Amino acid sequence: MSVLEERYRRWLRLLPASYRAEREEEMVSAFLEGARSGRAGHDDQHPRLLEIASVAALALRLRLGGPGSPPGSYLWGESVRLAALLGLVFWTMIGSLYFGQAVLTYAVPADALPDGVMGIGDAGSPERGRLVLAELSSLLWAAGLGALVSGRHRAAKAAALAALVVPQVLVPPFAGGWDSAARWACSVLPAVVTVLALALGHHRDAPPSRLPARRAVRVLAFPVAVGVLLAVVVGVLGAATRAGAGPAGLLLQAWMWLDPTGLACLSLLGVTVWCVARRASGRASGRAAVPQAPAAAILTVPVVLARAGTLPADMTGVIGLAATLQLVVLLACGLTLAAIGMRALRAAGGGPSAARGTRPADAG
Amino acid sequence: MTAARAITEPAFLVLTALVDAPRHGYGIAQEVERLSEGRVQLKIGTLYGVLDRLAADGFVAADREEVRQGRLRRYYRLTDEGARALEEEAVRLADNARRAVERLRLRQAGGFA
Repeated sequence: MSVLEERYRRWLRLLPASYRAEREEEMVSAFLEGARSGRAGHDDQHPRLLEIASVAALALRLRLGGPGSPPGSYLWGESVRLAALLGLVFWTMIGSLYFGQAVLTYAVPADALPDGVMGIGDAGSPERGRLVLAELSSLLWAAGLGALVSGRHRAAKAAALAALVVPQVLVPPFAGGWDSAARWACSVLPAVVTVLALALGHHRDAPPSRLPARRAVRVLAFPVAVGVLLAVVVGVLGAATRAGAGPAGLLLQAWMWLDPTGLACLSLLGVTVWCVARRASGRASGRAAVPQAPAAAILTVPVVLARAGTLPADMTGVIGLAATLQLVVLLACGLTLAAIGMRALRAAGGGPSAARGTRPADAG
Repeated sequence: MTAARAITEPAFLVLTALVDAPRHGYGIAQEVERLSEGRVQLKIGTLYGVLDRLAADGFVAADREEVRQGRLRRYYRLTDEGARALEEEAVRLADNARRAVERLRLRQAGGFA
């Protein structure tokens, strides 16, 4: 076996074993024929980057399969696509919260709010303009969700990517230094995973993402309504904190559960309880495996990292207690969801190869 | 078989490459490159992704296997359904091209303001 063949076969290991068992030899043959005539992707003894990229893209489509794929890869695909949808629902809620906060902070006449709560920068200043634009740009998540549920997954990907990048460009995410950069990286990880799930799950072979009109409206309206409601809650909590009303410890606890990581923690706890309840009733009624638990497990990983990577410096006080509690809740949810998800994936099984119908014995 | 998807340019060229004879993977890649005058060079991963989709839609099927110089060659052929789909797509593309040419001629003749 030549070095080139050995290296190409190594890249083919990206493909599912069942697919390789059926296609590896002819793929290697086709690749080497091209290499001999100097036409296929090779550079001396290395397959070219484009050739490797084509294998990686094929592996991704096979492992995150669409309709007609083996049950295991279809369930993985559905899990990643559902993770993208759930992530977009969550970030639409956060975007609506930021939008509501921006309206409350910057659009209410100056004399209607107490001194010192009019946001950052003077009215009309570039600094304030950038900040307001950054907060408004979080509505791009809603645009992404709307595009996805109406079946336009390319527009959804573009909107979600813009929602992720634009605020970072408008408002510098960290002041400098590795510690600051690491905390920022951890905090954006949940949004990055949502965008990645959207980009990877909705490939050419994925089923259409369009929902029936009424359901699509509900899926979009729910997080927007919750986000606006949360903006009001945050406004009231802010007024209570400024006025010194209520125990300071309780208010600090409340703030810890109202930031994106705290809200993600509460959302994942809700999904976990739902998955456990559904599993219990599903076991009784013998329902088939579903992708909710693996999807939520996928989303839990970056939230755990975000929480662990942005722990307060002082872990002894009320804030430290809330952060520890969140981490414990997230780990418990993650383990529960992973266990349910693994059972679902095991129940789905490996199944036959997606390309089984192309063998000569099956040709008709 | 799942519902047939839109025929992309690589899929169109792969179907066209199989019209006259069954071909194996590298043979299809070569023929596609020739048909497109070098514009479309299918990588092996892309080629097999296209073949998987076309097989799932029932447009191509495996024909036979050969071993040449110790290497496996699997040949693919166009099915009747694939030939019909290719013809429909070719007619649609030809109609579009004809309309575009007609309008361009009108424009050159000063028919459009």
